Amino acid sequence: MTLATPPVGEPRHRRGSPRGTGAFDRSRRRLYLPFVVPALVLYLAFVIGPTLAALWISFHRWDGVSDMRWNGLDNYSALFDDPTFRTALANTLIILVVAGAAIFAISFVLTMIVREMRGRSFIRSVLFFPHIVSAIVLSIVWGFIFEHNGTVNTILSTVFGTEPIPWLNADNLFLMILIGTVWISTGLYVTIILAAVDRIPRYFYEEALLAGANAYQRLRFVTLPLSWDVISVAAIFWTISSLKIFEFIYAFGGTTNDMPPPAVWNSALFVYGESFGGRSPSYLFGYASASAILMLVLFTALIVVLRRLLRRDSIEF
Amino acid sequence: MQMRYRRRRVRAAALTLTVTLGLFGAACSADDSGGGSAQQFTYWSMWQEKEPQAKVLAKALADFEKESGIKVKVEWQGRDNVTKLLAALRTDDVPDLIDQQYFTVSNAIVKNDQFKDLSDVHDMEIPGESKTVRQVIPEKYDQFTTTANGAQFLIPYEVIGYSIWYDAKTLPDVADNPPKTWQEFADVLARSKASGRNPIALDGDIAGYAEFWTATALSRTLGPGGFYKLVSDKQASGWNNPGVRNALAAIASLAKQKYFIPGYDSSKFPAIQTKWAQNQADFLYMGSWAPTETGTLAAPGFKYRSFNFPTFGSDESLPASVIGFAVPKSADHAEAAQKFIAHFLHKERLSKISSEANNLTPRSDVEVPEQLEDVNELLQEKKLSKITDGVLGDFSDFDKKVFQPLNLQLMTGKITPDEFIDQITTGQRDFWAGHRS
Repeated sequence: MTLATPPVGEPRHRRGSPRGTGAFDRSRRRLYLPFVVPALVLYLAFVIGPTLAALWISFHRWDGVSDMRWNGLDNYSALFDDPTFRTALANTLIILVVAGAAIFAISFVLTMIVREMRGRSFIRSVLFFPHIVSAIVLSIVWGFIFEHNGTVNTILSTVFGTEPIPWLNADNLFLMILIGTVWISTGLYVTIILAAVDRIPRYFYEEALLAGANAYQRLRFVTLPLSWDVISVAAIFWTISSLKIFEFIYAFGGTTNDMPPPAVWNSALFVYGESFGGRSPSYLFGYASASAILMLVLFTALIVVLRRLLRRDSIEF
Repeated sequence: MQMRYRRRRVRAAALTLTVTLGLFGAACSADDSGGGSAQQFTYWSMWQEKEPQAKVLAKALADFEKESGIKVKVEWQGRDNVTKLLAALRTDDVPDLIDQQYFTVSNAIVKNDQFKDLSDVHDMEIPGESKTVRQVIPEKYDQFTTTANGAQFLIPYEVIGYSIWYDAKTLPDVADNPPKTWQEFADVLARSKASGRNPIALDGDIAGYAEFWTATALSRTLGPGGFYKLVSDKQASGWNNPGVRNALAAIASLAKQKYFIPGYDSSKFPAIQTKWAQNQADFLYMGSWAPTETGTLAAPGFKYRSFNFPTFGSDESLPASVIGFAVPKSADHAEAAQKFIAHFLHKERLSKISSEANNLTPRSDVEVPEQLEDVNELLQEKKLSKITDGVLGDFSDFDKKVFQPLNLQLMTGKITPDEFIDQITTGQRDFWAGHRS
């Protein structure tokens, strides 16, 4: 099996002349600003601006209305002493690692199965479906399915005569949230990974089969190396989206006016719970901002580390 | 040549887009409140347009416009109207009138002095009635609507009484002789259990509903204001009081004796209260909205009755809450808004909150729907106390993060009263020690 890897140090692709001097390049450069400025303005106004504002607010006590009072790093040190925040942090990391591992493991298995199946575009659509439907709708459906007299318990008691299982009680709620998260997200990653696997020429697999490679070996020596760039992007993508999971937990664990129990909060719910959330909101904007900034820093670091860990020379084929 | 022309056009289009977006942004930030004339005001309602209260208010607003010539711009925002108000307070686009439960208003705009003192409204005459507002809104509601300094931040128009609901058709004995003390109540529950019924319904996924039980038991034991004092103590020293332990043990025993309907800890609201309305459980401790909320699903012939939460000593006050109007300090048309408040409190208009929206009002001369007669009697006869003793509103962060989770564990039999006391004592001390934000 020979794979062409570009020699280190040489650019992989040449994009036009190094300093475009032709008429085309000049006019393209003239178009650069008008096209970039609108996006940049919006990005500054709606992403960078609010992030900087949150950083500033995080050093204050602020109820959202009165004047802000300087608080230094007190919000940050209070966070580490707050058991609810520590739980939220742990839950966020559990979602990232445990749900993430499950999502990628299931995605690989499904990829291997679906790759060789007939009608795979249909199956791909079915797998992708949970990702299209709003998480709020899914969480409501899950509530009906798993509640005390819900579908699952009814089926179990009809078929096996079992007592209803308290799927949604305090002990099981977070586990159900993890399972739900995996179920919602897997379809997306199957689709991404499948698209990458589809690019791999069939003869690699045929050759592996002839060499007597089993399914695991085909995954290990063909699929993974040849789709590694996509997988690493998908991993980064999951890391970022896991931090932002909000509505599934909120709607699955809570009710119209109430937050879910703090034991299942992740960091996004913590921010909401300390600012606007609940029947009687806390309005602790400084504290909520501090937690959001802390998570931003933590996840930025995580992503940098992850990118280094996942970096490989891409393989052309 | 043509190519260059086209590119120039693209560039022009891109620039136009930039400028348009800029203008759009500027337009959005401009004041669109349309203020100016005093003959109008803006009302952000806590009701959504299809709710019965919204229909009653909409009719009253239309009458008010006709009679006073003052235009009302109403937005049916729903329950997060106060959250939106909080964001609006830093802009020029502030509504002149809002409504909400008293603790939601006090939590958002009282502590930070963003409310208008409505004491003057008490002296206003209700148009068409030779009575002032003070004459129809009894002073017993002032504990909900005034600050410690006596400023009036709310004028109530709906009252919620919290009582223990049951079906008098199924439980005629209870109707004849409703339990008054906790011991009597425990006997009723034991009989219910012995006869193979589920004594109590509770949607345990709403931590606030579970909290009603424990908070009321504690404020009954310590007297009104006692539970509030207990949780505001930074040393958390009051939890070892034998009375407190006794009240907690009483609540814990409900779970221990399996008095709650199976599934109360693992269902989605309103599954359990619906089961109660279908006679699958006997009692439901709930606000006076219970008959309206469960009415359409109730068993045929269900006869809504209720009694006061049983006593643990001498306190027999009725846990209550009020919904009312408030005016933000920076409202431009406060006067017009106040005129509407007085207008709405006219007996004929306010009575529709009772006759059409099936809720209680602060006016004692308004007739109440049949299913609310018991709770109305309590409202008129008993002293009132704040539901959860005011803890939910004033210490919401503590309540949400420390008290409610532990309380759920107590009420699902996961921890004993002693473990509860140990954990809440530590949790409360830590909370107050870290409460710097």
